[in-house]
Amino acid sequence: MTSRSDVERVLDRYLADGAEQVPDRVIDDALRQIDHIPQRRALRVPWRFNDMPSVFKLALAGATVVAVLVVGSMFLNRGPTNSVGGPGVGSPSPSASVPASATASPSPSLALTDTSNWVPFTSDLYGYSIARPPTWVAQPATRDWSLETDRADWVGHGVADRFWGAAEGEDTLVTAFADDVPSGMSDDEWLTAYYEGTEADGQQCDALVEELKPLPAIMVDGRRGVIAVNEACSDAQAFVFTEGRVHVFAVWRAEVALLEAFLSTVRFQ
Amino acid sequence: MDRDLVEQASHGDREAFGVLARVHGDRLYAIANRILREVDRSEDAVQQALVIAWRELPRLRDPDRFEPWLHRIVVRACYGEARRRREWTTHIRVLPVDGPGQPDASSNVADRDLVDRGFRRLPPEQRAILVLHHYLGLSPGEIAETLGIPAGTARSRLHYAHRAMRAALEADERVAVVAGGRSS
Repeated sequence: MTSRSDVERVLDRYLADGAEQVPDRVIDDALRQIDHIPQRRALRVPWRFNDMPSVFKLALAGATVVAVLVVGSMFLNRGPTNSVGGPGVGSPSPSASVPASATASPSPSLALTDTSNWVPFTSDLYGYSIARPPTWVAQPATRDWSLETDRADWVGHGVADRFWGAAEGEDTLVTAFADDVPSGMSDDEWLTAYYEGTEADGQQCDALVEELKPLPAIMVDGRRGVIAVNEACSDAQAFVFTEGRVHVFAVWRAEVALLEAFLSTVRFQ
Repeated sequence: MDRDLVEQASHGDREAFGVLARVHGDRLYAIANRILREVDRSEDAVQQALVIAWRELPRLRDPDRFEPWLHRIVVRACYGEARRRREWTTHIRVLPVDGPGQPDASSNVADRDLVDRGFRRLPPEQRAILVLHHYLGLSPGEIAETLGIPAGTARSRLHYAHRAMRAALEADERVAVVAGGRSS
């Protein structure tokens, strides 16, 4: 009875038998519940900025300025020589680079998820290692991400290490890549340049900037970073600046806690 | 019909969603019941799945994919139910014997009990993949689409689920043989 084909036949019979009709009260109860439950907004993967209508490009460009101010101010507020408010676009500020030895208090808790059984992944291309849930699929980058050609393309087909899997019942994407911060460019200038190419589909991500919420600074493998959350587009990105280089880790369609769990496994080479 | 209803429901039409819930409820329940093998938990899983489906429906891009999407949600709801209660083996009950025409009813009861115990020992992920394959008749490719996993992963999970089931059955058979030897 236990050869492979027998097992399949046994399962065919076993699983053919069972309840087929849901009691009406189960459906009724569920429908009563949804009377009080709002639907979540639709999500879209951001599309190419170049595909957007011109009017929206202008609107987004304006909104991007605000985004940069928000993110930039996160850096400036921490730096001992930086003033509150941060730089505007085109008005470079003093460097907001955060030295590895900075004394900021670390994130209270990065590892919100148990990562003990996660599978390690090492990127020689970008010089870091990370771990992913065992059921997730890793797609290594095939070429270097570049600010010039790939700005804001955190979805990163071919240019980012990509990790696909399910979280909370949804397909979820985590990506990671890194880039050299050009000599003479401060961290917030780099962020400004990064967000200048922000993508959106013009339909769902129009609240891109308004909802970009800064979170407390994080520590990733002993180095300081920031997370920018965009609830409208259901993505979050972490930026870790270190030794003339920036590492970007992004998550789409999941809670920030998942990104934080990934970050807790990061080791820089 | 589904497509129109799905589009209406995704725009907040609760009545349309109610129709969808009643159309698909039986199938959701059948899936949950086979994965969880417990009435109360299956009902809870279906309710959770419907609530989640309502909340997340605007995020479904292709209305034609509503049914597999719904199946994915109920499977995940089953995972949640299973995690909440891991003591599967303490609630074993023998399911009804098949109808007339069986050559040996007592042997069927014993076999079914054996299969039931073996199945309940499997983790929920393996039970789910077996239900999708043996009950819904989905191919590994279709399972992959339903669960949102790569096809290779679906194939390998199915393979391991069969292997685990075979091992569970063999383990029970060995126990039965040993017990039989001691009592004789």
